Amino acid sequence: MVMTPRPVCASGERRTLDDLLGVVAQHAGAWRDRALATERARQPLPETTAELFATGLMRMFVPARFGGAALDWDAPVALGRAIGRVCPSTAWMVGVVGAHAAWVGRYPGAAQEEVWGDGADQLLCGAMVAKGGRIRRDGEGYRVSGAFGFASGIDHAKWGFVMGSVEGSTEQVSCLMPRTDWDIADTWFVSGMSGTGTKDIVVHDAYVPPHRAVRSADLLKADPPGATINREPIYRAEYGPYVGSSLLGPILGAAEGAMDAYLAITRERKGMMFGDRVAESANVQSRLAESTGDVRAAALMTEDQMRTLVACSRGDARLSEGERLMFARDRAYVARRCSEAVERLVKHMGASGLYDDNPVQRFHRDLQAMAQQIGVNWDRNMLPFARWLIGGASQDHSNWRR
Amino acid sequence: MAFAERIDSSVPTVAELTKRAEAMLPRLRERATKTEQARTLPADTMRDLFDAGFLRILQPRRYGGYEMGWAVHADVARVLSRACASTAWIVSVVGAHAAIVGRLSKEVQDDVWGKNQNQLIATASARTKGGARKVDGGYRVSGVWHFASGIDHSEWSMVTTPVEGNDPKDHSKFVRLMAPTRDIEIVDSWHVSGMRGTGSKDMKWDDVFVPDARSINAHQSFGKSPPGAAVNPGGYLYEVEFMPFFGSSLLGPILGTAEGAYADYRDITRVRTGALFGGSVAEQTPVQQRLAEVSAEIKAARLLYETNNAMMHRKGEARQRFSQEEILEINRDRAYVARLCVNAVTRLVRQMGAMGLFNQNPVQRHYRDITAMATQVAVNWDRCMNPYGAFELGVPLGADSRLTQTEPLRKP
Repeated sequence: MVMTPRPVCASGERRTLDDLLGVVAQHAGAWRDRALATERARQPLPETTAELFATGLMRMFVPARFGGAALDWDAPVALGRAIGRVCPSTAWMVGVVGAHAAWVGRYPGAAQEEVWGDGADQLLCGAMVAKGGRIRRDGEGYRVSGAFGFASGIDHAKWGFVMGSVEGSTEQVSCLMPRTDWDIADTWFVSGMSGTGTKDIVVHDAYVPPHRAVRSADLLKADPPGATINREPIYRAEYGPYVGSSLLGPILGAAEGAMDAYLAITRERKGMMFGDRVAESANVQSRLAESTGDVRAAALMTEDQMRTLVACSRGDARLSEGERLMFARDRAYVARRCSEAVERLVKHMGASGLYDDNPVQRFHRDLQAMAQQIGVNWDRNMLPFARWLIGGASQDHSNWRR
Repeated sequence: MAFAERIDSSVPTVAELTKRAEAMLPRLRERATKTEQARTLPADTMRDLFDAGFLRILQPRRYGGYEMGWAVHADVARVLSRACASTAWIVSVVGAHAAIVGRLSKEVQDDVWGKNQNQLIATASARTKGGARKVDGGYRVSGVWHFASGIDHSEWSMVTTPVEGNDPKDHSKFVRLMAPTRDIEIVDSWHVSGMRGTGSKDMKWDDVFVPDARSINAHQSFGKSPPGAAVNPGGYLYEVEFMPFFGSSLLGPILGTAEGAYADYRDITRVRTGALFGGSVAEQTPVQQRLAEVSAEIKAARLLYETNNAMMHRKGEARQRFSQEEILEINRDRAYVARLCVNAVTRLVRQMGAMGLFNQNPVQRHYRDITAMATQVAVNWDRCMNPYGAFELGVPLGADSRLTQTEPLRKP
């Protein structure tokens, strides 16, 4: 691993979101150039990971007392969007994996000391899908063993957490473990978001002490254990409404990146068979305009959601039940608008759209992959809102996110 | 809205106008069927609109108007169309004609508002035959113009027309001509599937003389600093290029109709049981799913509508020119908003079963109305989408793009 621990800096040097957006602008060209190599590596490239640490991007949600920026909820979305425009997998590292720092910042202080005591630059991978993995009670703590799926960025992580039900109960716990407690199972042979290296975490029969094994419900609620030491809104506000929103950055960015790439190609492209200029086709023009309309609508919905969520996390407003469900609906809708926008274009790129080095098709595959995420799943997020709206039964949305 | 904020007790706030519009909804609902059958707004609705001040929103203050910013008239119409899109159309689309008259010469404005400040002004541009002939001191006008919404209630009428001897395709030579409606024959051709209450009948001009003072070159009237800018200083809508604003008036009624259809559908469906097998319709998963999708479509439409109106108002106030890209984007979004709304209402009405066929069913009326509104050229999909796509791709814009700006468009 290329990263070097950096000294804890004084709170006066905390990076702002604008600082970090500036960093993204500087590196965007390089990350765009590496997108294909990243995809082929099936994990974040070491040089990119080093840059994410060196520039402070991965400190977005690290608590201020460990030298982090402790930014607001709109940060992962804004940064994920900006990076997603060049490389969605890299955007995922910052916008989704980077946001795990907020989760750990809600843990008891002792756990945070263990994770960040030696330095703020930690990639924290998380796995929330049990693939045969078990969590059992063991004295004051828990014993974890077996495989849990979808730990993005795991190759570069020194810490990981798994979340799942405790055997013999419906209680969910989140267990944080150092690299020595687990191994990596490389299962990540996929059609999209290949560069996130979202492999399985395989835990050796590890004991997780109580300060690193916390009931998910206690971390999700307002004022979790870590809130006594980290006073910023991301560590204090009720977490549920925010979880899915971090996906919107990479999703929206990928759609915008696809538009950029499509335009650059199509402005110049000549039909291979007859040499006609593709840009002059009225159908091509119309489809492009429709897709940019889709993406603009998605962007406005995303911005609307983030404005409200930031206000709520600061205590300036409170989310009603209906608004929560509405934002979940909007997330599914944004993902659909974005993936349809790109699909419409890629369908008509001809066979030249099939090649690996055509960025439009990569953005397309990445979008399809991201749209599988439960946080933006159509059925799962549309129905609860409708049921609430229509005043019918609403029992079907009792998932952990709420 | 900055215009409304000027201290003047006779000018209501936007919030006050919204309240008045909401208070009017029960009456409009009650009259909706009658309005459709009459195929024109009932006299009592016209009186209500004048009394509420809805037709003064874009009228110059010099003539008792409120001179408000973009797009207060459309926002009020958005509320009204929850109950009756035809009434909303008169407020938003026909009401916006006050801004056009506010751009004309002082003589014309005195003619229109000098005696009676409650005016609805009918206009028509679509024409199958006829035109104007230049004569000494004015024009002689003959022909039939279509789609003159609200003409039954208008004392004044305007047509946009080519002049004999000029290229009939050269829009830059077109003129706008005003005449008292009593000089014109109203031809009741308005037997239609939707927006019946707008009474958008034909105007038949039979050798009508229009003095030069009541004429203006069409491009001059919509271009920067038309004659009315000096008459009504302070109101940007009488001063800036009008074309970028023009087509957006109809989004208020379109969005409001979708919102109205949605609310009516939801209220009906909450209590509806299946006509064949009983059972709550609301508990059917596809019903729930479509409702959520529709609500998301309408929200996306609303965000686009609000964002673009706010942008237009900001630029208008600052007297900033719109770039080509901005104009093309406004047009694209206009068609996009209309399509979102039409799709939303279509999805709802298709799901109502045969119950949705009855004329008394408000969702069905909203559906016919929105389908009718979406035929308007300003929200025509191809005409709005293709120019934007061509611009982005760096190829010449098609002939349709002339609808979007008073000057010919160029490549970036």
